[in-house]
Amino acid sequence: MNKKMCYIVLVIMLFLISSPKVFSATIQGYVRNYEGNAPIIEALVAVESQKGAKYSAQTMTDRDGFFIIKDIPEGVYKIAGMKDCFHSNSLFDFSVSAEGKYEVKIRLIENLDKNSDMSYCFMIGGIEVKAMGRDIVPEEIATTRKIDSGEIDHLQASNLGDVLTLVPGVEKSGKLGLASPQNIGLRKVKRSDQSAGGFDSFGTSVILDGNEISGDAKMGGYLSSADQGGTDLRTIPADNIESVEVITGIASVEYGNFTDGIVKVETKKNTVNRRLKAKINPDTKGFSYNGGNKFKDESIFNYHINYSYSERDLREIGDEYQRLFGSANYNKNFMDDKLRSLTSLSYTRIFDDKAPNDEYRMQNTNRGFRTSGKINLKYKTDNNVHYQLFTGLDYKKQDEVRQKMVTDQVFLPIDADVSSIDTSYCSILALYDTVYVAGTDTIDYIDSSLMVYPFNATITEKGAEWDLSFKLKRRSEFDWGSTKNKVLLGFEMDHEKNNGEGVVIDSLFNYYGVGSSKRSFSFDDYPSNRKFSLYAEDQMSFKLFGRKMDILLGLRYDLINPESLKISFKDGFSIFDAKQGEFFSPRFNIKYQLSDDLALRMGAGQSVKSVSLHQIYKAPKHIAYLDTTINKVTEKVLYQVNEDLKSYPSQKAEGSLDWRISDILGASLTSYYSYTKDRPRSTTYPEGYEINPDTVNIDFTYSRYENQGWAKDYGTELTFRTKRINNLKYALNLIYRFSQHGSDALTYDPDYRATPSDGAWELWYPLYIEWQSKLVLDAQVSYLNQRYGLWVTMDVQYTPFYQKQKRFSSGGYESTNEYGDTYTYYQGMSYWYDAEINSYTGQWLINLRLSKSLGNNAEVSLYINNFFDNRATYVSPYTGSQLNLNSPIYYGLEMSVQL
Amino acid sequence: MKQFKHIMIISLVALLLVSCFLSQEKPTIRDGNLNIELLLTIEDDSDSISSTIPVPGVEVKLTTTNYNLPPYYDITDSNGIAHFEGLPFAYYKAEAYSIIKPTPFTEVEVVGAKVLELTADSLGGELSYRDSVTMLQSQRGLCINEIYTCGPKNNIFYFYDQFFELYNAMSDTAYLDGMLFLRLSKTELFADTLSVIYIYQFPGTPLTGREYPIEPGEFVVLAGLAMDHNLIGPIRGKTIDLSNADWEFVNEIEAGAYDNPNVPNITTNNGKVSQKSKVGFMVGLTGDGLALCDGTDYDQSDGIDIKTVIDCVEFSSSETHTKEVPYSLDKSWGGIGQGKYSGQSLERIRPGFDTNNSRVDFTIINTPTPGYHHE
Repeated sequence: MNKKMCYIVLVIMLFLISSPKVFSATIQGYVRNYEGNAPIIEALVAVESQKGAKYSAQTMTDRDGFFIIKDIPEGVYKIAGMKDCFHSNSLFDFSVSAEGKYEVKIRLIENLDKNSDMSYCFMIGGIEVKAMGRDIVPEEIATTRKIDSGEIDHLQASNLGDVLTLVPGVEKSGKLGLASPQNIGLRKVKRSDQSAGGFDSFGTSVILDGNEISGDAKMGGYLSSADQGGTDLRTIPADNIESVEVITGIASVEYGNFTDGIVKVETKKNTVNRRLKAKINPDTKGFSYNGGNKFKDESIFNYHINYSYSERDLREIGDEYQRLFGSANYNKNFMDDKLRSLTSLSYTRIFDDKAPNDEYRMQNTNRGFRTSGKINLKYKTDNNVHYQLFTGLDYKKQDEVRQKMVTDQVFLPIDADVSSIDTSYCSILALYDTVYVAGTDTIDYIDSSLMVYPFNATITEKGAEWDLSFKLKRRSEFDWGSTKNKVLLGFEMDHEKNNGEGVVIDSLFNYYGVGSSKRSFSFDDYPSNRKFSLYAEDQMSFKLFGRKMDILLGLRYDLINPESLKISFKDGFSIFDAKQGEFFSPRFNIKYQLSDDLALRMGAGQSVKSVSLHQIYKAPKHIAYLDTTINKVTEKVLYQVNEDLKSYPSQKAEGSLDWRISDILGASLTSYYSYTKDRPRSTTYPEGYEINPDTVNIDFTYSRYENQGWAKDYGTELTFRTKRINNLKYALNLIYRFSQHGSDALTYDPDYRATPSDGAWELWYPLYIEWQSKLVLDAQVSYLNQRYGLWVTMDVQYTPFYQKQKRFSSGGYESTNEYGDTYTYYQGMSYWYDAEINSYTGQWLINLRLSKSLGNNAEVSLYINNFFDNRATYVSPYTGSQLNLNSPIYYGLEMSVQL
Repeated sequence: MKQFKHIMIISLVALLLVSCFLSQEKPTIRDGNLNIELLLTIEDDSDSISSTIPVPGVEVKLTTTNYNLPPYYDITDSNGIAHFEGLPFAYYKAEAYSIIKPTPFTEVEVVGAKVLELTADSLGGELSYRDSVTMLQSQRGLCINEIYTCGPKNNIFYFYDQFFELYNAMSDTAYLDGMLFLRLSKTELFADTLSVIYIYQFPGTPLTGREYPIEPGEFVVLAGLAMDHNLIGPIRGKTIDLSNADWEFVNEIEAGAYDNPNVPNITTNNGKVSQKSKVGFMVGLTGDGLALCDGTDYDQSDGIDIKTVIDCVEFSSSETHTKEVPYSLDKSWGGIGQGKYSGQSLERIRPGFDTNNSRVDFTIINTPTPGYHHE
């Protein structure tokens, strides 16, 4: 190498060393569907610098969902993926620090509403987080609250009852989990430490994947706790719920058999990534596994397995509630996707056991199960008419056995066979009579009888509840002039039957004690419930004064247990002679856009709740009496069936104003009034009433359900919601409810003369009316940080005002209580303070939820209910007794991993 | 696996943090250091104007059921005042019994008792308390002398050995013919009729009948079930033999009931008096109301006239019990602190001692005494 060459090389090397360092990186990767991993074509991918020099670039994905962006300088970037009909997603803090290729995968969640809203939606592990920008004011014509699967996962709900605590105004202070039955009573007022039982929950309809779950097919078994209450929501696991829709307004005519509202649950049926979820809290432990696969023929198989275990009383061994749930769905399209079929099967098994380790040796086993099968066919014609055919069979097996030690004495003849009696703790004692031997002073002892004390008693309740449903719907859309019409026509049929051996009780060693009036009866002895419904509805949309107007008009006809065709105009128009009645229920809704940001909604309508078999066929009463003709104690039966008990209607009206105050703040004000009449009520009669209604019979009474009750509910719901502002979202609900119930009929009091009321008390007197009035303040703040995969929600519930009182209209007289205060003692009162107002004011509660992603495929959630363990203790000013309105602190942890 | 460990560690940390909220401390010392002065007085009827005079030299007993503490005793000084010091905040019962001699040749049996609510709330932080107890003189009559309801010591919930004892404290023979024995339901405190759950009647004609005498100083035992309850294995030797009771309650419509043929019956649903209950006579183990009536009013549908009541007793183990029997029949209730299945019984402090105030008249004894009085 010559000198010249050496010089050139040196100059080149010096240039290379001294020149500024320039990087040029490449980011490439795929945009894919979160469910199923399918490539997304023509998705927009944008790269934008977060720190340092400004830089941005965009590109589109190709047919494989692939994208590439070259020549990206060093820096920290945000990479976003966007596509119509998908929620957007972003990747933060993507650091580019060296020359080379960076591989990125962006997964977008499909927007099932198929609209152009690309508001972000992303995953915290397995929790789907939506921006929910559209929800600041309601879109629906009827008042509805929707809960999606992300909120359910974030809450760590174990059953539907837990999920419904997310509905504004529903008590959040009750205990979550599986320890005790859970019921919901929409728009009802209750004390927070009590469950919504009886007719308060009976009037709420729970619809699971199109099939109503009701207790109407239940005969009045003595062991079933929810004889006349609503569905025990513990049997519906939350892990596989896609969405919950709570309709409290004037619902479409396709919904029947309710008075207060509808809880519509849709489970996951489409392709879902396989996910294993486990949760633990002091009460409930469980895991679930679900997934959904799409096959080559585009059919989808979705499955879900869930096991939960609840240890109700930690101090008691063998006191457990276990739930095993499995479901499978198979979707397949036929005829060029015109016909869509969905076949579902589900199975829920309950192990509700209690070991005999308490003082009364109580041993309970409940091995019932519920299984259901559904076939749902949807057909879409070429001219956009949709037909839906639904067939469902719900089968609930009752298999409950209870045993306990009864501390009653049973006297048997001296020669009775007692060999079968377990004498491990039951004593059998021979009793002797002393008899003087005639003509002497000698006393002889004669065996007289055997006494058994205590004794072991068993009751079993076995049977099967059948509910066969058939539904046919037709939906069509057409334009009539400038009016768009959506027409719905439908027919439904339900057949409900409870059969089986029923209740078996030993009449001698009676589970309820020797004086009990309860005896065995078979479910086979009672007939079935048959319900038929027809409905028609038209939703019209048009412009009125340049603004959008929606009108929904519908009519539903319900026929329950028809006997014969009988057209009559007596007591109103009727077509059939139906045991439980026939009803025409009109429904009307209107929504008018008063301005771009203000909408008015109004509605009125009627719905009908069918009575249950238990209410119609109340079990008979067996009573002992002295038969004077034979001078012997004998037993007679008082029947308590009312075959003419009618279903009962509820009439409701409501009005709402929805105001989009700004792009980020919306408000909604709803007022409602509902009146339920002819509600069944258990009425007591003296034996002999049928012959002489003025009968006074202290000894023997019976009771049966009559259409004599009523309920009135009204209230106002004010809601403010924001979009997410700097990762924070706020919601505030002010809910005032007033509820009262009573009866038009009189109540029997054979002891009416026992109190010195100066004639003010009567044999049949009006029972009190009970009213409750409550104001609940719900506030929620949620913080969401996509960058750190963090979602924190805090709920505050405060009850500034809650009062309840029994209002007596019966005769009364002035009296003095133990404090020397005068008061009026009304007929029907038990204590002097029964007519006083009970005020449970000032209850507050804070709940906290936290979800954190652990990588792309896992997350952990922590839930703390009643964070400060505030028990909200109420002290009665009348008795000094105390009760805790809030459940104690309750916390849990949930983890989920995508497999 | 690394991710799984990560999840587990975070979970454990979170659970530990939550568990911190649950720590609670137990109380370690007694609350309060009270000084009490009780003035014992007796009504002075010597003047036309009613007044009270102090009673010196009387032993006062102070008990509480809030703590497992022995009774406190003190004797009233010359001013009639008893002193107690260093007491914790609690509910107390003060009792005093004495025989005083108004003249050298007469003796009067007097008793005083009072319940003292000496809690931190009621005293408002004060540590000294002064009160007076008025001692009362007993009346003499036919009365309910003993009430045994709480069952023997057992873990099989046996309480069928209940009995009630009558005592004739008069100087004349009384007759039980046609009398009623009632279990009361809640009655207005100033009512002039009694509401009734159970109504049982002695045979015979009220007031005029002379078939069923009870002599002066005689005890009569009314058994719920007249049998030897000691024959039952698990409670053998722990209870009483009622096979020789004087009377037995029998509900004429109780299916399969036992009726000791050797013991006469007090009956219900017998064609004359009737009640809803189809079972035998059983009352609350540690709380109820009982009345003995002359039987002239036996129609319970309009209540039993209070004027026909011979004796009435309300009892409850609870200090905070809401009174359910009219004041005119019983000013308070007895049996505070009595335990279920304890074998305890409630008996008058002296045979027939009656001031119409069961808190004063009755005491809890550890063993039932059917047909005789405790020492």
